[in-house]
Amino acid sequence: MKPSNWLAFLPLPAHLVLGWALVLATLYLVCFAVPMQEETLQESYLIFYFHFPSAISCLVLFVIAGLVCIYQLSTGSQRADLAAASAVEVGLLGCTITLVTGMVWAKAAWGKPWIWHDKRLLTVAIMWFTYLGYYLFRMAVENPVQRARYSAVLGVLFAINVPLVWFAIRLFGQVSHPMTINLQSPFMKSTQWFGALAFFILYLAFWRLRYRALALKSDAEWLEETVFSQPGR
Amino acid sequence: MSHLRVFFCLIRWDLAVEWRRRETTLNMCLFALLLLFIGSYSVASRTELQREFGSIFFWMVVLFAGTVGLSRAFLHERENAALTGVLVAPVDAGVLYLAKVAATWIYVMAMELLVFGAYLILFSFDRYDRLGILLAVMGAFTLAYVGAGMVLAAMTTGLRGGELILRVLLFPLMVPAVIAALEAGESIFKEPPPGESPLSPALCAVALLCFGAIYLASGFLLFPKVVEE
Repeated sequence: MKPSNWLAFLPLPAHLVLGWALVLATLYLVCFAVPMQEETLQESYLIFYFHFPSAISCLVLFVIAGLVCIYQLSTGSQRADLAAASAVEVGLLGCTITLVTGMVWAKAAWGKPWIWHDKRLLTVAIMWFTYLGYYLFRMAVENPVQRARYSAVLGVLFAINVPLVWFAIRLFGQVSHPMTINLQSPFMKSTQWFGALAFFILYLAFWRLRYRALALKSDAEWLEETVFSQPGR
Repeated sequence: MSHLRVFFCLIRWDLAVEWRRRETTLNMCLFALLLLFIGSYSVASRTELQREFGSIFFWMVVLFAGTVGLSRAFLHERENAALTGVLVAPVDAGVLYLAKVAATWIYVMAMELLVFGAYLILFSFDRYDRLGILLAVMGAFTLAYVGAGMVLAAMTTGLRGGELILRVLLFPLMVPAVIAALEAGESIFKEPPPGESPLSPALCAVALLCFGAIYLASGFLLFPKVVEE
């Protein structure tokens, strides 16, 4: 369940370089290749090429975190706990970027950065708060075994809530947020999906990096407790 | 002993303890009444504001005061290690969860009925033909609220700043249910403005029941992991 095991064929430094290169390639395509304006949203639509990939990546990462949490609950693996926690942290980064780029876009398209009646904005904000709560909760639990188990329970509960929030909003919300953008040319669409892939690869590299940092920290704590706290030391 | 018998035994035990101490319900009701009183005072001078914001105050009071009950649901069990005592007995942890949910549902509903009684007086409620559907929405909302909250309460009781963490975790999780309750309140507590057609309260009650069923099912499956020693 460790991200390093799934992606062992690609060393982490190469993965990071690949991710950044693909994101820079997306930036190049957005600046020089795709049309500068769209029918209704004019040039403000360009931020969509960064907003959409972050939104998709954070959703996928939260679902992955939920699946890893199920694995943690069935095996009790401490490493799976670290993998889930790092996936949530990187997902939170993606969610924050989604919110910020969304607000910049909303300011350009609607004249204000936040509209309360748009329940789609609200869903992303809820998700952000929910997973921020997960992060804060981890800091409050001191016992690592208890922290792993409780965090896994939260990870599953919150992952269930992701589609629940999505459908609740579809049921109750008025929608002023564009569900899809009418990208006229096939090239615009392929750039959109190229960007999504590029960001996702970069986020996966961040996940591996963060996982490695958490694993090292956990090993250091274990060493401190077992070796350095021996009598006579 | 069958699961059903254990379930009713646990509810009776919880209600008996609460009846002797009267701690949770009294604290919750007093806090709820104070919140409603302050809310009512803030809009007392304007009748149209009372009508506009009355239902919002009502659900906010329920949401905030309910956490007082939730945070105390496992307090005695954790403090006196009574939970370990229950778990070493042949009691399924899932059944314990359902019994705790049922008992807390009763306390929170009692608090909501009291708050509604005060609401009748403070906010001049006059839509008595909608009382039945309001009770259904209240019951369904409380089920979703307690179903999700009980798992979180079991985890946060005994933590440093546990009560605050419970709120931080529970409120975002409850947003879909709160939206459904507020939508139902739009046509229960006031006459919808001409041209606006809020969702039917019955549909909102069904949606709340669905949320409740999902939270109950996930709580039933996850709770044994929470109380594992």
